[in-house]
Amino acid sequence: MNEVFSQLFLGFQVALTPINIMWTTLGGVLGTIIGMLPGLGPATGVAVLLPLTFKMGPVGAMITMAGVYYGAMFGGSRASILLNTPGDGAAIATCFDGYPMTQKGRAEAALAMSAVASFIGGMIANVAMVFVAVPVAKFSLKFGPAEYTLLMLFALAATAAMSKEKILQGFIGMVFGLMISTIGLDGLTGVNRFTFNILELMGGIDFLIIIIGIYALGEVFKSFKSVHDPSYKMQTKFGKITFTKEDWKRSWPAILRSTPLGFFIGALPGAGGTMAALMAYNNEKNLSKHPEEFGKGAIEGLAAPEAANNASSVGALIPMMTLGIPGSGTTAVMLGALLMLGLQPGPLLFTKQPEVAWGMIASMFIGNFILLIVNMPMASILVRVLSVPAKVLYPLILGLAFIGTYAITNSVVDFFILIAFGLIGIFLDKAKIPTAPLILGGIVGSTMETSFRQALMLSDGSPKIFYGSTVTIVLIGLTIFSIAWPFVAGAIKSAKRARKA
Amino acid sequence: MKRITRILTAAALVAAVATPAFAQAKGYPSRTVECYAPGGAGGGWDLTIRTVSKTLTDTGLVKVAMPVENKSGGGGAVFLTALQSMKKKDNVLTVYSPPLLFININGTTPFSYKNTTPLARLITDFGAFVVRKDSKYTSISQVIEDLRKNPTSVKFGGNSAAGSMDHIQFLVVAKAAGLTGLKNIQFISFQDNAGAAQLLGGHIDMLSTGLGDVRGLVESGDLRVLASTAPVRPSFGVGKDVPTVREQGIPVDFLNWRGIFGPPEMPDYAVKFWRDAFAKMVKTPEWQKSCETNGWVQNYADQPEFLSFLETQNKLAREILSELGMAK
Amino acid sequence: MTWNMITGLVATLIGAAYGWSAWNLPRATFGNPTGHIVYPAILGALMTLLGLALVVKELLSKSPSKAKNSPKFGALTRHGKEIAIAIAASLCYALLFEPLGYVIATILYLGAVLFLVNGRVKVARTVIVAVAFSVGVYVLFSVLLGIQLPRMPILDI
Repeated sequence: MNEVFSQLFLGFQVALTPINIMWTTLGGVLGTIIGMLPGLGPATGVAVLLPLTFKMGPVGAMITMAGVYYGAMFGGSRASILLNTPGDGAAIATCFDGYPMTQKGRAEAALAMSAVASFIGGMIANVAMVFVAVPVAKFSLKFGPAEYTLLMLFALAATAAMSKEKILQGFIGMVFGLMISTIGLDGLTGVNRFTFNILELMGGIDFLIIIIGIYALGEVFKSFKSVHDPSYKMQTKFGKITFTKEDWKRSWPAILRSTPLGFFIGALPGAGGTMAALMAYNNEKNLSKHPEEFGKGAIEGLAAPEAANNASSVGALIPMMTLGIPGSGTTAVMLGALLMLGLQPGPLLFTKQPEVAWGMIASMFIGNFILLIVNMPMASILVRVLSVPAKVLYPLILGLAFIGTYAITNSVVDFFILIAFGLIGIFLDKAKIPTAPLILGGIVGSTMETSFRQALMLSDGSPKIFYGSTVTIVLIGLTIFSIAWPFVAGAIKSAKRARKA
Repeated sequence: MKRITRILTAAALVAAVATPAFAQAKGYPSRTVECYAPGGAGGGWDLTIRTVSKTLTDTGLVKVAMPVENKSGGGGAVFLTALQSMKKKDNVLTVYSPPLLFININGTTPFSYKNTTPLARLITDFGAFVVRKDSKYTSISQVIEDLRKNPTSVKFGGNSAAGSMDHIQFLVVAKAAGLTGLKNIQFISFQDNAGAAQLLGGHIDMLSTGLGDVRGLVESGDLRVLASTAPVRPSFGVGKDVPTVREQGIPVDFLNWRGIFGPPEMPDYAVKFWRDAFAKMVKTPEWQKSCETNGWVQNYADQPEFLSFLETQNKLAREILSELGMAK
Repeated sequence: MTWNMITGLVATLIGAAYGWSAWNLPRATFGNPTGHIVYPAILGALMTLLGLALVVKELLSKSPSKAKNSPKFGALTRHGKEIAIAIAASLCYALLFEPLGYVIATILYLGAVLFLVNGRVKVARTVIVAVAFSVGVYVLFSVLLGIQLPRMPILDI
């Protein structure tokens, strides 16, 4: 234990030099800005830095890239809250209650809570990184194909149960999402599925484009109705960026529950921030005493995914730092950059170059403080975007959606996909089909299918692999619980009501 | 077909002589050279072309800017198609490796290395067959023997799709060892580079990957390399302590080469300039240092040698993919 | 016809078409020949069943109280024309993006959409916003972030 503190002390000595504080600030602010733009997430942010890292040196490069990563988590939610346009995948769950809060005129509280929840999630995850990185990395290795299959199933089950009244529509959306995720080259057989001989589809459709299509384009198209409405008014008066005591009372348990969840999901290679945020949201909805308020501006429904996605960005660094394995798209780019700088991430990084590893960890504590301080005044400027007339703002969102899409793959083929999903977004809205199951289906679908097939290859076709380990049994239990719980909770509630009456 | 090619070649030669190439060559390159990575940022292609661009400009061998752009998709096929519309351009460079051959053979794209101007082979990584430190296997021959008895007895995987790098490099070795029925050997493909974690967690028995990709875990002793596909042991890095498949009696090697390519029908003055530039670049200490930090093995080959190398590699890949039924 | 009915019918159609094309995928030449087919085929079947279930449920629920829950079809037509124009403009944008380069294509596109929403009033604002956004984004991406955007064909900047 003492050793950990002395190492961390060394880290702070590195991180607190003026130049490294500058890199921390620069990375965090750049990440926040990149995160705000639709489509541009941490992976793009780190890629943008790639040519510069040569000049920064290993410590500076690590600190700056980590800053971009968690900075993007801070920034990603801004557009979700203000415009219903998620800045990146991890910010999508923030739309569900963040935007309704804005519509109710509570954008200031939403922005403040998002920054504070991000900060707390990030800080707790940093502490966890210092003390339990190695055991968490070891535990994450227990996740083989069978465990991944069940984890994805668990995530889906929770979502399906989310939309109780529209269960059929919810399932239709989910299956549609799963269908989309099958597009592309099947790694296990090398066969192209549903690509219509379009090369650009071979790698699958980036789900971020679908999210931007459904949310950003869909939102703008829908708005054509309201912008001509003479009674439509934009917000002109803005309050302080803060939230009430009541908000805090509702949010803090959600933040504390979502942080470990996000941290662990982040540490699993291939899971990531989007899944973490959506699972945290479902979780809170399931546990809430008033689940009917979710989706209508419940502040804890905003706090939970915000804490989870920041925690997941810290967790995602674990497989890279301790094993040298990239766990996400962003860490894959970071790993590439480190190799170019002559660093070898992996078990020996902490002993061979402690100043790099611990310097980065220490810088993340500092960075979180800086971002909290930077984000509050930034939010009070950003919130004024709501005073831009809708007739100007909405066309500009279209422009941002296209540029964001182009930044993801540099391909105009994706523009057509984007437009198609804008149309689908209108349909979903008109037909009142919940979007969350569709999105989650699309995100977990491909991993679920390949993991399932990989597991059966490993077991030579025996299903025993799905209930043969402790982890699988726990996951099965959680899945059953999450499907049954909303019904059980409902039954308890009505029983209580009956007794009162 | 062959005749048409010959006529076209002749026509191109005439055109090359006829155009005042000399005038254009003077002061070449005078404008920005566009470098493309056919895959995403941080990947192997991306790191190679970025290092090349940096080394050439840092050492002053090239005086103009060489910005790198990523054009990913279709395992490199998207950019290969785009490259066809850059025909005859003198300021476009890109990088490719063995998948350039695979995507043509398996029918992903009608274009092949013949629709580019290969300029030079620069580096190679080698295939590595890796197990956990406590694995019962100590040599690649033991793995082959087990597979001979029962083709599904060894659970092996990789980070590429079936029918690409990690899969093919093992089958090349298996075939050379006299194994038949390559189709029946299962290959478990992992996404997002999850293969090493799956191996560490004990979910698979063996991982087929690049020697450079598992350096950290091999140096720390968590993973053990059964064999590499290098022709001889490289003189530095993890490779120098790793036996080659040849040493274990299997007469074959497999190179994960990376080379620089220009667009089809790149003008002669440009080809000459770049061949010259790469020949000089590989001798600079800057380049040698970059190779060392990245764990790359220098394996320079000038255009003529590179072309004949591509031809033999293409034949080898076609044999394996045909046997899998994947060749189109 | 209600939206739920449409959803049910569309889902059935998508499910059938998807399932059918899944079934007709080329068989894998090694390993499990149908490994990549079973799952999409199941998804197709599931989607068809879900769609049919929604159709049946909708047919059965004729009572007025339930009909309120299901939004009526036809609400789209009121603003359908504007949406159609915006989508047509977006498609043109996608087609012209590379030939015209980012700046010109975006000025035209944003100009068109802004004009669509604002009409003849405030044309000056429309022009200023379109130009400022296009140039601003181009500078931010190409110059500051180093993300290459399609360049203008003649000027090559």
